Amino acid sequence: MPSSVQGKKLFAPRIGVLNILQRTGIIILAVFILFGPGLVQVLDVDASQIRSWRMYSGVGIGAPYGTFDVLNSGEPVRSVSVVAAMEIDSIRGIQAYTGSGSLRRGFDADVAIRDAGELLCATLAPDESIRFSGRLAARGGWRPLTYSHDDLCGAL
Amino acid sequence: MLEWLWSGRGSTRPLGLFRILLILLLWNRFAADVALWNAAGPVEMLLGLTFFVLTGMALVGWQTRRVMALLAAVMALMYFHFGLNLGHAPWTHHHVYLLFICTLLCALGPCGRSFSLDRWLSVRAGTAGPEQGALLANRLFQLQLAAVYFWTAVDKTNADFLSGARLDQILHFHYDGSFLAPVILWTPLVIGAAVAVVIVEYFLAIGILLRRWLPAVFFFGFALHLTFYYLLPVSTFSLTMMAMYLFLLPPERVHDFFDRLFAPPNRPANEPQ
Repeated sequence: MPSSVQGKKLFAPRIGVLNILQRTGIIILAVFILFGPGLVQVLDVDASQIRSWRMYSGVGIGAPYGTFDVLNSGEPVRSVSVVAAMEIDSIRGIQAYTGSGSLRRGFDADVAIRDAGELLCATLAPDESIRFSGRLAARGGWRPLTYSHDDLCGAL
Repeated sequence: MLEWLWSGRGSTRPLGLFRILLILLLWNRFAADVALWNAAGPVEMLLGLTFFVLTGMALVGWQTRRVMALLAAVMALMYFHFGLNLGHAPWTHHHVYLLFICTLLCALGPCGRSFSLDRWLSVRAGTAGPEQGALLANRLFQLQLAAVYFWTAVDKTNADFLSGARLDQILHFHYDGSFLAPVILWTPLVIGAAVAVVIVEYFLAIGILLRRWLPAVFFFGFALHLTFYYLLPVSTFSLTMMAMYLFLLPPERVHDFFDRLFAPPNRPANEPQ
């Protein structure tokens, strides 16, 4: 028997096993591509290794919007936006403000507004007061934010 | 479905062209991250060196299948180890995972049989076969596209998104204070856009697998991705998704397109040779 024919016989079963393994691997990959995200998104499996397709799901969550009103004898005389009070260029700058580079880690809108309010309080004339009204981008929708003069300047 | 996965052979030109686009996207996304001037230590330097050698070889298509498999391993290392395990957040995003899975799927197909140095060397040696191969990788790309649209639509199918509130928050984060805010943050427009996005994504999830819907799939898919790309910082995500649309086209039509494109022009019959 020629050696090439012997070789074919020897290797034929191994090629078959490889083929089955290869096909099984591809099927697993295809199933994973199709249904893997469902494990996280539907069944709430806590596995960071499985990619969900929740694009932009956390972008902007936790960002506060609104204005500080400066009042003189109870009448508004000027208003200062959150962005201006925090001395940032835009609301996205809050991410740098946190120090973590993300709103998701280490950012608390309540603390940030009180900090900005305190800075503003220090600049007020004796008969002036401030208040804040705005809203917070929260999961589930917008949440109103209101702070009185005492909330913001109470510590001074 | 299994029969559909393994059935069919066709032109390898869509996969070859996608390989080139993918490498350009990888360079666009990672070149600065892994360049020598950004290396924090020997490990990062080695990672960068490996990345550039492998992507360079994959772009010209030399030892393409082996190189793409190694590149997929490097991408997995970057996403799973450096990104998820070591906490390098910029490498954990959706667009990075999409680049990784595209590299992996490319490696599963005959990605070096067209538009490659491998092809040119085999043509020169007189051993080149036809630019034909199994369409398994093409099918997996189609499944990946459909899965992305389906699951992202599922994620948006809730009152928070469909009421426009979630999209309003995203747009406020990027346009609050902008001169465009009065237009882009106009509530009826935001609500309409939120509903339209979900409808289009469900449509694409199904339409991708139905050939007769192909023109509409291309129209709405490209409109969706170009809008996202222009409106929001989505990095390479939109471009990668649009590049994947190559696998929705019949491979032979892509092949014929290049045949016609590179065919010598017809000379007038009376022109001297």
